[in-house]
Amino acid sequence: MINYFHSELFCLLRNKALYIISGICLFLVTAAAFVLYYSQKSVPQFPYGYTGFYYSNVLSSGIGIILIGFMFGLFLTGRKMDIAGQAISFGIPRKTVFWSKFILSLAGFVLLCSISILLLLVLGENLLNHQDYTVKMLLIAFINMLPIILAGFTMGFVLNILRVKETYNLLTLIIIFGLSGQLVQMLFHYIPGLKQLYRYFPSGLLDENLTDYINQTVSFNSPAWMIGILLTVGCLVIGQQIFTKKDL
Amino acid sequence: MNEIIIRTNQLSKKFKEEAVISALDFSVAQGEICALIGKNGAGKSTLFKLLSGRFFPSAGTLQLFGQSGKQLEQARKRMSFMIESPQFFAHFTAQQNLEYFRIQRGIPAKHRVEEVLKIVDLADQKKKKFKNYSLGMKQRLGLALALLSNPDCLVLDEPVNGLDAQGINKIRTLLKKLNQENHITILISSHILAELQLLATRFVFMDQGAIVGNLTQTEFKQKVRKQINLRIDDPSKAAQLLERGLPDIEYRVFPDGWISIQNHLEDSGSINQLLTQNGLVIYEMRIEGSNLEEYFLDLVEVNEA
Repeated sequence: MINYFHSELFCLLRNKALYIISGICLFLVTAAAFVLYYSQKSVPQFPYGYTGFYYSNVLSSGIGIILIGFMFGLFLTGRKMDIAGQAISFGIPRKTVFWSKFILSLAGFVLLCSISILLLLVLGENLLNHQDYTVKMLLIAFINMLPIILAGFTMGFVLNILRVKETYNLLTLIIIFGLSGQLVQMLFHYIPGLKQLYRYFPSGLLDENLTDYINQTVSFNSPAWMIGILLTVGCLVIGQQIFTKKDL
Repeated sequence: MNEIIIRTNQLSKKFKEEAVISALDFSVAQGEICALIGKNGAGKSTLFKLLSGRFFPSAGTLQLFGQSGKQLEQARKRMSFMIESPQFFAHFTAQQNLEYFRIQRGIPAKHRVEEVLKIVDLADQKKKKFKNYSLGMKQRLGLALALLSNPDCLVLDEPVNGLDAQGINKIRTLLKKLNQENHITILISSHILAELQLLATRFVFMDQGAIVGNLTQTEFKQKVRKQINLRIDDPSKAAQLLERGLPDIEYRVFPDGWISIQNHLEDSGSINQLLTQNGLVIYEMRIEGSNLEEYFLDLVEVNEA
């Protein structure tokens, strides 16, 4: 497994798109902070130059973060799956291919997210007003987001490695992680027993997390973790089962 | 008897309900250059993908180097496959692509990349990106990859596709050398049958997912060798005359008035003269024989009829 892992790392580190996407993400985080900072300086009584607004914009970008994760998954899957076929014909087990690609692309994605959060905190805390929003609140909100983002990343990765068309893959992610809560809310709005069901769907959980942060009532959300872990494990188990039996 | 490197037993592959490979029994022995010949859609590439582990069989079993089941993964480490067009990272140079596979295959010798690039004459193009390679160069890089891990068995699907005459010649020489000097077993398919005729030691013919013919180079030469065929008014008298005039002659007389002479092809003029001077009437006389392509087409025609 270690040889395959090394070869995938060799490939990932030479992928220009990795650097371009990472650069764009970090640029957006930086640019947003500076726009707020200079607006606050130049516009009298500018209402948004505080950390709460800056951070809440990132917290509201759950689906955007998942789509960046989707692209990270694509670096090692996508069209390169024909090359994975070469590895399989050399006797490398399919499980090794599946897990190496997953671990490596997840590691890259986690690294980018960690750098982005660090940058966000450094810029926010040094450039903007604090009001009543604390770093602790932000970190709790991020912890609540984490399992849902992980589930989204995993689902995107699995669909990619199973060679589901990128358009369908994107649509699935947008529906599940961007719209599922609203759709369920609309569907079950008039059924009293199921009225609150939307809160347990990925997009509902992300929305609730954002609202709680804005209202400064954010606390550890265990349903988010249960649903996130359930989705992640489910995707991985089903994905690996299909991948190890699939013609490539 | 040489070790059997590849053996399939009633191997079948279906896509939905369509059978692409049907109950295939097939084997390749160590040291052979086995040519797999078939039209497009005959099932050659599917068979290669089954051998490579990229496809799973619908029925039947497969053995590589005597191993089966879970042990196939280990056996495949002694093989190299080049199936359809070579797949590489487009934005990587040839050297980077091979380096990626060298790491993946756990080959410690870094100079191996350079070695195989030299073998396929790409050493001076190693810094060029794969996307800028011509079709022929891509094929050669595919071959370099196939040789990277010093395999005991090469499985090559259309390896000379896109190569010019000189390139084809070089690949043929290389494959022969690998077979004779390094004892590498080769299973190869190509639509250039003249090339296979020059290279292979055995021919396996496929049609509609089944094997319709299987013969060694010697058997093939025997079957398709050139001969003089003549239709004559009195075959028995002709036979006597031929035996008297050419004592070592090899011939066969057929009941419909045809005689076929297997040797003395260069003496067709003298044979004509001998028979006509003795009052025999020759209705037809021609030198016939077939090459691999004609033999294959005949075989397929019979199979489809």
